[in-house]
Amino acid sequence: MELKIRDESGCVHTLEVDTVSKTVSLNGAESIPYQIIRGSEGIEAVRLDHRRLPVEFSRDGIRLSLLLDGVSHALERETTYAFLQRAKEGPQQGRIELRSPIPGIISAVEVTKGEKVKKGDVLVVLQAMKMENEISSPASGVVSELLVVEGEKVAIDHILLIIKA
Amino acid sequence: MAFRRLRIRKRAPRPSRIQSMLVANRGEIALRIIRAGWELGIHSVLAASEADIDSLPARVADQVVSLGGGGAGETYLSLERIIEAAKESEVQAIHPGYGFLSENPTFSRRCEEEDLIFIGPSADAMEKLGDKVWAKKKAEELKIPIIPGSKDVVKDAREAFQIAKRVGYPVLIKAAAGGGGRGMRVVQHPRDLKNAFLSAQQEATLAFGDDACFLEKYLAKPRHVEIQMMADTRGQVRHLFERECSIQRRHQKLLEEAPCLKVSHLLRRSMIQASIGLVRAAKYYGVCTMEFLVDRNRAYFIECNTRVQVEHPVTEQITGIDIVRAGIRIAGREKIPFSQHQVKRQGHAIECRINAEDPRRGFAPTPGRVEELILPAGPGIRVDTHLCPGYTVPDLYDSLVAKVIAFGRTRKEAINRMERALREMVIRGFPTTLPFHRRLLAHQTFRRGKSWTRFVEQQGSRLTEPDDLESERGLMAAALLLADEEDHPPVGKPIPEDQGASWALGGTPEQQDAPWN
Repeated sequence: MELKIRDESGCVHTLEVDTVSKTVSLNGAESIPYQIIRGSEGIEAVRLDHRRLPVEFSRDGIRLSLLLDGVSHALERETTYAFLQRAKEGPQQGRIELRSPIPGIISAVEVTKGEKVKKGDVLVVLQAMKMENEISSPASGVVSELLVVEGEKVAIDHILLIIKA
Repeated sequence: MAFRRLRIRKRAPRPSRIQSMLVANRGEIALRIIRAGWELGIHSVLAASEADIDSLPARVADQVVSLGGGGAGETYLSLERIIEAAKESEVQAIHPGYGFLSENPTFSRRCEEEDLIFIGPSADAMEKLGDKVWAKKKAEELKIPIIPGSKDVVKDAREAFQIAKRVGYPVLIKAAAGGGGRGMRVVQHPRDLKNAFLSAQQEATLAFGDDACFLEKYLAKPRHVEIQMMADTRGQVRHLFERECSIQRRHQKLLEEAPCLKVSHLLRRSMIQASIGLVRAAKYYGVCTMEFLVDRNRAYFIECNTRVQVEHPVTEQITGIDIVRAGIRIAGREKIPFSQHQVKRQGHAIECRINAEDPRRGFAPTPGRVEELILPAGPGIRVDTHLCPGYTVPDLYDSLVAKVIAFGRTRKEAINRMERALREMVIRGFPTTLPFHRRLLAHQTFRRGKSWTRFVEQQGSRLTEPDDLESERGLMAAALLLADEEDHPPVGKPIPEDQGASWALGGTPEQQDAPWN
């Protein structure tokens, strides 16, 4: 089976998985044997090239989250639909949802609704595990919606604000 | 020969004066203290918050007292709750560990008033040495070099400007009551000074309830070297050599080692002499650490930590002296039973701090449940951790989950053993700093011992992002798991609600069950 996966930097890789002979190959390179190790609560590890790598895997539509041997990966499955979706949205209509990377308490909101922000500006300060975490803008644009207030407790992936690029 | 026994006394040691103690801390240090207590025949009572009531230290302690629910403020930082817990359990002494109330002189004084032994220095000595202003003034009197900067607390932004102009940019603003990097700001240009000063004050208020900040010159490429000290109530002062803690991120130590191979014998001697002088000047007893920044073969005294430190195991490994046990015995008015000559060091030790933080997301905390745990072992490896399978790291407290300590005859052997240990170690459930340490240990600059305090920041993504092999493995694993899912569609196994939401991985259970496009 052929799969296309986008990595964090936006590169698309082609992978060939043979579920019968249990081999996987990346970008046409040599096939590597693999094995899936299942425990009582689902998949526990994969064996890749004879090394056992503990794994956690979850999927949200095309978004794939992977914790492999302690390393977190945020990947995306490249499908025709995703490709068209990106092409349709384009960079002009960019609506960026800024999500909380960690659970915590909002200790400061540095912007107001409608404010212009530059890439890298601190938008929100999130207090978690005794640390002040500054959350900065991933792009330049306008704060179109502000969805949190100071002192609010937020869960992971909670949408903090929306930026229109 | 990691544990060379010191032959000191012929008589059997007298039983410790302290018979019972309250451990007013959590996590690995609580466990470490309980272990030391058990070896001394002390009845250990753990004061645990609701979140920690079934943690490993709570299982190992002789007795557990609940501090109730809530974050650090309502539990481990609440002076009244801790004193109440001590009275309730009728203990003789309180061990504060590190962090929380360990450096709070009000707490130490309160213990004295309540006739409880505070395992640490006297309130008076803590107020002196623990206070950066006092310590620096004393250091100047004793002709110990300090970093040029403000002599006292900086009152306002205007005064900050004046001092910054005198010592020259870049400058560093830090909280007087601080430590561990909180409330610290580096300012490169005068135009950023005002904002940085105000935000440092704000953070200091939030973290320590005290907005006092001071300002000093920022050194270009310093190493962090510290001297482990101990002194007893009879005025005997001993040093246990130095530790090198240059591998830090935003002033948070990540890896420590002992000894420091890059300081000259002469410089080491001068740091030790300075440390002894300061301990004597404050009439200090207990264990403490004197921190120095070493820049171009000059050592500047920065501060004193009046408590046991996170990185104490590396010194224990090279000297064979149990620092936590020593601290308890000193508090029980016992004499240090060895002379300075009997303190010998041997070999090299390294400690890696494994935090529940994701290096890929700017070291953001990643609390979660331990799904699988394999701790490394074998020759020369020690692990201090409170993790156990099924344990959930709460999001209320700090993120240190394990300390892996490697010991070898040489630094090279210690690094080699550490690499082996980290390869064996598995924590499945949440991202940790484990991959960061694996990359760091393989880094040539680190292996050559040429690190300095901003090495990690300077390296940028090289240490935090996966290398080629890790990225390839990630892609391949993702692909084969997707292929497997299509082969065996999920049998609709519901995900328990309490797991889904707080996880670093994936979204809510509803999202995870969402159909393919």
